[in-house]
Amino acid sequence: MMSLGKLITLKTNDNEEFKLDKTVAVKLEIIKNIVQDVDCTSNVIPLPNIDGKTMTKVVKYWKKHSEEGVTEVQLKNFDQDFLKMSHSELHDVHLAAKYLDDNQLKEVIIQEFLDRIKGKPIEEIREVFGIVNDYTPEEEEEVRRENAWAFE
Amino acid sequence: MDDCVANFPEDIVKEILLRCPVKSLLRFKCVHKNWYALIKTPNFVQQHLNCSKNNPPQLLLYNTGNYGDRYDSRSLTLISEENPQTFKGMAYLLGSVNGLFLMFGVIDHVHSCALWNPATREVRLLHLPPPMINDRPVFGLGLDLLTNDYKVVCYLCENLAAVYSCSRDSWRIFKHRIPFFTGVKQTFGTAYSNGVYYWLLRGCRPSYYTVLLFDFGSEMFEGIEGPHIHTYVFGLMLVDDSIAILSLNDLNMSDYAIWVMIQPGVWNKLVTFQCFPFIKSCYDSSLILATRTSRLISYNVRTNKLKDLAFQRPGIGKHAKASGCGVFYYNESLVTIKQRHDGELDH
Repeated sequence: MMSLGKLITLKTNDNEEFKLDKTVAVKLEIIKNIVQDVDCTSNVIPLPNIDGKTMTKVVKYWKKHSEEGVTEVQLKNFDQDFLKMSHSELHDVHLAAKYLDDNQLKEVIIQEFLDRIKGKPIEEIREVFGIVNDYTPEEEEEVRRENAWAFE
Repeated sequence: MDDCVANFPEDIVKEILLRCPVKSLLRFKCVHKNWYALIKTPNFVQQHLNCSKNNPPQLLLYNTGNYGDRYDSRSLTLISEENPQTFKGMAYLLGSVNGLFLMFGVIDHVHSCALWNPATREVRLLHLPPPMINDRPVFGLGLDLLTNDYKVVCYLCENLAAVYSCSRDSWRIFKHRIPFFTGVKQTFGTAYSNGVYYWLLRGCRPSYYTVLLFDFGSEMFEGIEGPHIHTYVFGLMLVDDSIAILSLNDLNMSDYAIWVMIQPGVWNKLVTFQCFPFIKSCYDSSLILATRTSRLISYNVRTNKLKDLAFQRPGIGKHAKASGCGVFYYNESLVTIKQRHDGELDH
C-alpha cells in the first residue's frame, strides 16, 4: 500500500487536481523546490500558470516517460502521438514545461516546432506562430530581394 | 478554430530560430518585421553561432582550376549543386573563423583578397594597400576578441605587414621583425584559434621550423620555436585548438606523425599512423581524409577511430588546384561582413 506521503497533488488555475507519485514529481526541479516549502499536511501544489487541459497532457507525458521497463521504441511512438496537437496547444504545453522547468519536454516541443516550419512557405510559418503579416507587399518584396537565392 | 496563438512570446520564437540553418533564417526575415529585427541583432547572431557550434559541421568543397592555368586566370569555385559560386582571380582559401573565410589571388595583375561568408553569400573585397599588391603576401584571418572585430593580416617576407579591421574598414601598415625564413608550409583546416592565427615557417637551416603567430588583439607577431624534424614536414594544423605539425615519422618513412605543442616551444609526438592516401583537412581532433575510392572519412587522432562521412565525389583526393577539391569542415554563421552603406532596410 502506498503511504499518503508518497502522493503529491498539483492544482491548476482552473482547480483541476492531479495526484502524482512523489517519485515522478520530484524529478522536476521546480516541484522539488516547492515541495520543500509546501505545508506537509496538505501536499497540494498550486500551479497558477497552467490550466487543466494542458496539465493533463504534461502529466500524461511524465507518466509515460517514467514508466518502468518502457522501451525507446515505445517512447518514440508515444511522443509522435503525443505531439499531434494544434499549434496553440503545443505552445501551451511548452509554456507549462517552461514553468515547470522540464527541459526534456521543452526540447521535444521545440523540435516539433522546427519540424513544422522546416521547408514551409512563409505563409504557413505565419500560421504556425499565429503571426499577422505587417509588411506591405512592396516591403516584403524588398526583403525577399535581399536574399532572393534563399527562396529558390 | 483556436489555432492562432495570439501572443506567441518572443523567447520561444527565439529558441526555435536559434536552431534554424542560416538559409532558413534569411528567408524567415520576411515573416514579420520583428523577426527581421531579431535575426539582424548582433546578440542573436552570436547566440546562433554558439548553437551552430554544437551542430554537426558543414562540408565546404572548392576547386581552383588547373596548375597549368595562368596565375591570374584562375578562379575559385564552391562545389555545390544547390549553391555554386565562382570568384574570378581567387586561387586560395583559408578559414574558417566563425563561418567566415578569406580568399586571395590575383585580379588584374595585382594581389587581391576578399572576406566571404558562404552561408549568407556575402563577400567583402578588401583592396590591399599599395606596398602589398605586387609581392606575394601571406594572409591570416581572425577575430579581435576584445572588440569583436574581424581582422585580416598580411605580411611580406621583407619587413612590411598590414592589418585590416572590418569595423575601421581600413588597413594599417607597419614594420615587422619576423626572423628570416624560407617558406610557409601548408595548413590543414583552420589555423585560427582564440584570437590568434598561426603559420608554420621553414627556418634558414634544414629541420628548423618556427611557428609564427599573429595576435589580433595586440596586432603583434610572435615566433615560437618549432620541433626539429628531420623528415618531411607537410604542414600545420590545430588539433582541438592546440598547434600541431604533420610530418613523416622519423623511424618509419611510410608512417605519419603528429607533433603537438604542449607548452610554448615544447613539442610532443601525439600519434603516429599508417600513411593515408590524401589528407584534406583537420577539424577538432579529426583529420579529414579522402580514400582511393574518393570517399571522405574522418580519423580521430586521439581515439584512433575512423568514421565514414558518407560523402563521395570523383577526384576528391586530388589537390584543389589540380581539378580536385579543397575541403573544409566549418560551422555556418550569420556573421555579417557587408559594409554599413550596403543598403540596410530601416525599421
